[in-house]
Amino acid sequence: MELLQRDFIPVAANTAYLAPEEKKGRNWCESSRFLEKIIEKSGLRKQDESETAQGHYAFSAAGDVYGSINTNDPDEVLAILKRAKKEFAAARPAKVELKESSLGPESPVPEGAIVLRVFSRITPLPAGLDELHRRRNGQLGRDHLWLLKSDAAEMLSRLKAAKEADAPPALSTRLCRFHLTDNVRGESDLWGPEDVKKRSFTVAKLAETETAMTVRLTGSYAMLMTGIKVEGRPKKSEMGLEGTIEGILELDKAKGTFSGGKLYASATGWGASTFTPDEPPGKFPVKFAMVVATDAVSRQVAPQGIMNSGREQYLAPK
Amino acid sequence: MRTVLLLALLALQSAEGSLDEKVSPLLPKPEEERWLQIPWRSDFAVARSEANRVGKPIFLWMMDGNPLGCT
Repeated sequence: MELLQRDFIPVAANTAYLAPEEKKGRNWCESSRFLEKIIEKSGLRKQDESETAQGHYAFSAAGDVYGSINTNDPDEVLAILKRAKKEFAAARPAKVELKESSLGPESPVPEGAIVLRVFSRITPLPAGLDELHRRRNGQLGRDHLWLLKSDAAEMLSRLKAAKEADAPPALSTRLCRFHLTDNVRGESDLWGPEDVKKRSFTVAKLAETETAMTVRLTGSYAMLMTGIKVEGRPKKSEMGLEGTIEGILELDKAKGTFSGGKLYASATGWGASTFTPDEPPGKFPVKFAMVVATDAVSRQVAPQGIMNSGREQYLAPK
Repeated sequence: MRTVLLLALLALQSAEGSLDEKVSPLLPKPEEERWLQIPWRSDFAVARSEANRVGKPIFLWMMDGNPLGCT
């Protein structure tokens, strides 16, 4: 960690944004063109061009490649860092002239939206799991949830003359399709509109002043996806999740936006999606916490649902 | 009116207390947030410019889905 803090410029990026598998999907800006050369030199993208380029890379701004690897093994990454430091010091590259100084956020947070960090865990872990399954299922899933100004406006409108109302459909659908998913073992297949079998969300006014409103959100949901080709398995299978959600949302009536929020969801899950094998056998408990983000990164990194389904679908999901 | 407001506030505090008890155990433990101590840049062009200017190599962590945001 010290090596990264002191001797490198560490950067995190989304392959689908800067170096997607499909050549036609690339934007070919200066950064993307440069990165494609780095990937080519590293050999990390496999011969078949449909393979992903995800992994760790060490290189100079001029384009000298010191190493690359796609692994979760910290020792292997450390070996690359040490080699890169040594090779960089031995032959310091000349400075290059760069035209592109910023790419901007991949998908900016909409005006008036607040960001919640979303965490998921399988807890308690089912008994009797072997070491691999304990490790894989003991991980923490992460994402970001956007609560939009339009969600707040809809909620304020529905609760203007009522103590209780159905939650704004865009908000409850966004929660079901993109955030209530077992992503504990990695990137999960997100639910399509047809996979949401039940979605019943209610908001109730808890307290109100001239400038603010506190709302309690409760709901229940059930999702089911069938015909999934899970990596490494011969037969197609299904994945499901059903449970309840509860929480508090704070609204700024003057601005017509959310000013805070905290949500908790408890669910029973089963099955795995394409890239999340090694799930516990049978049904297992999945829990979610959603809390207001206070860090800069959360406003720079878009929700996974945007990468999966596009910005429009995420903002106004069907 | 005051009694109603007081009861609403008490109900809210009670609900939040219970909610906190459910949410807290799910939040990241300090060791699960250690990777955030690394000053990750989220803009590749900014990072390359900085590396070029200060004379340091770049370490890129690239995943399908931004590694700072998803799993």
